[in-house]
Amino acid sequence: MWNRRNRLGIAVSCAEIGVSLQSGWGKEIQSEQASHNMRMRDGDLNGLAAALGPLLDKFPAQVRRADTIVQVALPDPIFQQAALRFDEFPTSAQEARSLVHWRLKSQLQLKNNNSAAGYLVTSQGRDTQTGVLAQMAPQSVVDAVAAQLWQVGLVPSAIDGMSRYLCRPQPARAGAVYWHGAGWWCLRPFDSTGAPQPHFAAWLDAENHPPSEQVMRRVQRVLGSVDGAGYLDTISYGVASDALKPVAKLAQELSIDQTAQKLGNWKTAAARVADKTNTGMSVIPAPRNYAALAALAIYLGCVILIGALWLKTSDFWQIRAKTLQIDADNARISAQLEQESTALAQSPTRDEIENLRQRVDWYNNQISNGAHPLIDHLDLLEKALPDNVRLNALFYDRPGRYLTLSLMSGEEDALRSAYAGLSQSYSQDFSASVDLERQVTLDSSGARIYQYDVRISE
Amino acid sequence: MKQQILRYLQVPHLVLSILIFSCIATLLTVLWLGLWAPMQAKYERFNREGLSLRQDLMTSRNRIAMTDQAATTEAALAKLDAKRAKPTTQADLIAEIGILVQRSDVAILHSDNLLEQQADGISWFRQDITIEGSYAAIRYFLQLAGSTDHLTLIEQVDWVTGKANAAQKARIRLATLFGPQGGDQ
Repeated sequence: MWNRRNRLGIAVSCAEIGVSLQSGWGKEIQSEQASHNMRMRDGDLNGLAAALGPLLDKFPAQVRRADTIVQVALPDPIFQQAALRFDEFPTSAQEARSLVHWRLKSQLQLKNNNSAAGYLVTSQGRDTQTGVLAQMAPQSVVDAVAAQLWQVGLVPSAIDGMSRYLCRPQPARAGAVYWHGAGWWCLRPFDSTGAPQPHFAAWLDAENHPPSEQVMRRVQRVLGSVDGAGYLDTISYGVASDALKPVAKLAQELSIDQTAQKLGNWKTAAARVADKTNTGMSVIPAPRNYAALAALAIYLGCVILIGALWLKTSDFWQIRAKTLQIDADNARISAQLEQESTALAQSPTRDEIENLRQRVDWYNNQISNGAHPLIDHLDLLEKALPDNVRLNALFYDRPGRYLTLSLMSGEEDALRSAYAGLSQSYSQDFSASVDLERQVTLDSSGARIYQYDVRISE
Repeated sequence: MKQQILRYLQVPHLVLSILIFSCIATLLTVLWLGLWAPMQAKYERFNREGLSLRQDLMTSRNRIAMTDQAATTEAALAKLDAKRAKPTTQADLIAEIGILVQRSDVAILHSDNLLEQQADGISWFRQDITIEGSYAAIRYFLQLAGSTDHLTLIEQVDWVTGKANAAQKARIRLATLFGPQGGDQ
């Protein structure tokens, strides 16, 4: 799908302009032609947009799409060609184009820097030089073509000589293709491998002028210089069949095969231009097609959106489940509140609570309510004191919320242990503190008695 | 620039990708506005309501607990009021102690009493008694004295327990709060 881009061929001769649209599958959709008044010999292309506009209007709108490959063929005399050889040839297309441009200007001894170059690698080996067929066109012409096409909504993908689209080499056979008509002639030699060699091209004195003697001599010289030249294909447009007889005669004299082909109209030339993809001789680099990149980015955005959709959907079901759960919980709590509202109706008022508080305060003031009764203390003491520790005396004071004990034992360790036990029990059960107020050691008939005076405060 | 964009907008697969993107974006927007945002809002509303209901439930539980506590307190106070308001005289209270002494098998060595009348009709009747008996007997007396039908408190006890099986003495101050009869504070 991505490589099946429509192709638009624009063939410009000295008097006519042809446009042909082909589908990505190679099927010709439509071809049109019209005459123009541009002076091609002078490099005048100012009327190109004016001539192209009405022609393009006859085509479907897709002709101006950004992904349409627009190939422009101009008269061959506009281009100068040379064969170059390089010991090292850059792999980067941009660097290669710059290097070829520089070498071409040097070889053709051009001082004018305003030119555009294109190239085609004709031979390349691992240990041999790289052979390149290079061509150059005035930058003013290239800029004029680009500007004129832009006026009618087109961007050129390739600008090349007309004969490159019309002339096809015979495979693995040396020979030449001769173009004559539409205001110029061109001879394109091919070596024994079918690789193109630099062309010879010149304007005709008149558009339909037959080949002059000078031209025939040139053709003869070129054919003689091609090793083992075995064929001469002639393609013509707009000239009488008789006019090309000298060419046929020359082929006979040189004993080489000769064929003749005549283009019926300029639309056919445009169709040839649209049909053939440029293989690298264009003097402009192919413009970047951002459509595929943009589509890819948008599809990537689609994938991200679908991911977001999937995540959000998953999130949605989770939130929905949580919402239902919360709703159920809320309903349950509401029911509980409904039930408890009956009980709450019987709850005491603030005044009743205040009244209760005053009564409790009154009792607390009168009877020290909250202090543990002595019986509770006795219960605890009976559990906490071991047999070898005796309670010698006890003083209980309820209003003062304290109790003092006098504990005695013949074993100090037992007394100390009993004191620790009491401290722990009172702390846990009564939240009371136990303080040791006095320790006394008595001698009685040679035996020692230990006494702890303990105060328990609530 | 406009012309360049228009040229790109005529490329079918680019237009298709834009259409698909727009469809998904529209679907997302519709789902967001029509489904997700309302559900999120509902979730947050229910959450807020849930928090409020839980607070109400906690308040309700606290009030119920307070009601229960008030009822318990009221019952305890009613019991104290009943004991305090029970009709009695000094003679009755002295006689009651006499009965307790007999039941607990202790002997009274000394007895003294004092009536303090307050302006609000409340009276304190304090009895200082010294008793003698075994540890168990004195303990039993103290237990009985603290659980009479009147609001009698053991205010002070000075008890020298001495040796285990010997007779022990304890000075006890009992205080009985009573009156006004048939009323409360």
